[in-house]
Amino acid sequence: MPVSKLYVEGDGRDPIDLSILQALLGGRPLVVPGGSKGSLKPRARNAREENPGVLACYLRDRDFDFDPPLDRSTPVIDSLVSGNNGLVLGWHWCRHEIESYLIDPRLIAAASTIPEATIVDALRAAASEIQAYVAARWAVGVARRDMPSSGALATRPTAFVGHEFRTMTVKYDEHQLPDWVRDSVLRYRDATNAALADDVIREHLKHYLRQLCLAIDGSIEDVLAWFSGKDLMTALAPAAYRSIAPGPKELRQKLRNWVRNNPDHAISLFPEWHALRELLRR
Amino acid sequence: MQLSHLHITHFKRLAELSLSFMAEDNRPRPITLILGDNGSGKTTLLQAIALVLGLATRKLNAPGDLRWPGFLPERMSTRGATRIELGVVFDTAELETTRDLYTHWAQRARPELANSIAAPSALPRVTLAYQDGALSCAEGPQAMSQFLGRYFIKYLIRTDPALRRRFLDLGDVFWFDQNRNLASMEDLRAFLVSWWSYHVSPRRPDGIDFLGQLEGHLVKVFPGARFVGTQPMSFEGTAEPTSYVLLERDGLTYDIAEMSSGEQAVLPILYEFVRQSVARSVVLLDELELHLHPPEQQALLAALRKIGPDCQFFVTTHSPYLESVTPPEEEVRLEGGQRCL
Repeated sequence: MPVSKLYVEGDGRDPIDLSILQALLGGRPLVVPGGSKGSLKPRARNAREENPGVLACYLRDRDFDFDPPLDRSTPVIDSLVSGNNGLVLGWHWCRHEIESYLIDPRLIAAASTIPEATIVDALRAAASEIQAYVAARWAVGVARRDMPSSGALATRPTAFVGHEFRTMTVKYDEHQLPDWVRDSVLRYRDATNAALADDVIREHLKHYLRQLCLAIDGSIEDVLAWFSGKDLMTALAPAAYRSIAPGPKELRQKLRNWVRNNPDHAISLFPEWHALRELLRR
Repeated sequence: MQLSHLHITHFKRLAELSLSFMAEDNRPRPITLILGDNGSGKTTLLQAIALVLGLATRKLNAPGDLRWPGFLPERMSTRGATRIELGVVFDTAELETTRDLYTHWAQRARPELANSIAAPSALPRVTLAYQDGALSCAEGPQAMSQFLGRYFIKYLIRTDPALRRRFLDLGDVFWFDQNRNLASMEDLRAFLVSWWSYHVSPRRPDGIDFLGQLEGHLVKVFPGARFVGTQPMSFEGTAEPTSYVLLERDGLTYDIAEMSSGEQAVLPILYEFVRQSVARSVVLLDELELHLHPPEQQALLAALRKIGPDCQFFVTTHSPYLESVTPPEEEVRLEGGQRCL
């Protein structure tokens, strides 16, 4: 059964993902704004619960929440529908975000008369320039991944869970509750400190600096997978694209419009986009 | 032809309105979504464009020829003297084609007719103004002739049917009101029956497979839909032989009169695009979402750019499903009217 509704990051103020995906998918499925990255999953889940006939899913940026996958030919499964083995609730892009595709040399070459090689060289130069900055972003991103979620600091002792609106069988022990507070906070603080420890962060920084070096020396796909598309677009030498746009903001808009005007051509450039369309319509 | 800007003074309920339709790259925007509450003047804005371009292209001979529900020509200036100014941008190929056609037309038209129209100029930008019941072009009568490419073809096609293909090189204005301009289902049926017979003809003389084109457009909005044939109707009570035109979708076969409301809202649009070879034109679409489910609204929006190559679309809508996928710089929000929730 094909997906009927796809929640996508963003809102009406800067609907770049929404406008591109609407053009790529042509209404199959319906593309709707899902707000922030964190709200996509509950929205898709709620939409399914409210109307079992609506097969709602979501698509989000990969950001620094996951390392790039080895197989970049299809979007990565982000979560499954609980209680339904194998049914996908959402995916994330293989690359950092939608701009990571817009800035692909093949897309820029298709959308302009700029040779692909010019953009490849400019992207490598931009990546070298922002390498330390992007490694720092990865280091913090990984630390965030390793941190416990706020839900891990529960506001209700385990013994009280499930007792709402029932006759209480446990006692409110005014001597034990302060101990529970202290233990809970301590456990949470320890887990947080472990994720944010100096030596751990230093190790992350070293690891990602090395990883980004390898990406720059590797294929341009590696650069586009490991670096943020927005960062690359901002750092790209304007001389490389001056013939089509005066600055990064206009370049992004120009490339967005090209994709919207040429959705079939754009899909043919990226196996991942083609796979996404097939997954949603299967 | 495409619009660069519009200024309206006192046209129906619009007192003053100035809009630019230029994108940041200094080219006319391909799509403008017109938003606003009921009564803010969205449809009126489309009517103003239809009126002025319709007169310029000779699609309309007088304001009274504009058949659009809610447009009463005698009442358009009740709040003051009407002035509508449109900035129009032409591309080089369109200008060259128009001049070429004019040469042929001037040779074949009656002398008094030929002498009544100046040879077209080749100005990339022209300003058109409707004021005091008359249309004028700031750049002169030769610039006014730049709008007549399709008019020349319609004259010449009588003796040279092959010229029909050149419609695709020339702009015009097309509009779709809330009834989608469908005067008669029987007219549509007659065309489709004739198109079907050509479509299935084993030997196709030099011509255009309109039905194949229409089906190609239809499937972009309604996946899996296709024409499956014609079937003679009963002769009882009819003077002329006529046929059902059968469509198939989702395993059901039905006549065009039995189409869903959504299909009835979309097919006439697609049909006009094919029948009139719409390209390089200004296309006005009132309430795109009419009778359509949200996915079909987005499908039609996505299909517009494919079915009307190089057209400039002006679309009014109340649909959040269209607004949410349109970049803010492609939206115009009109003030006033009755506040929606």
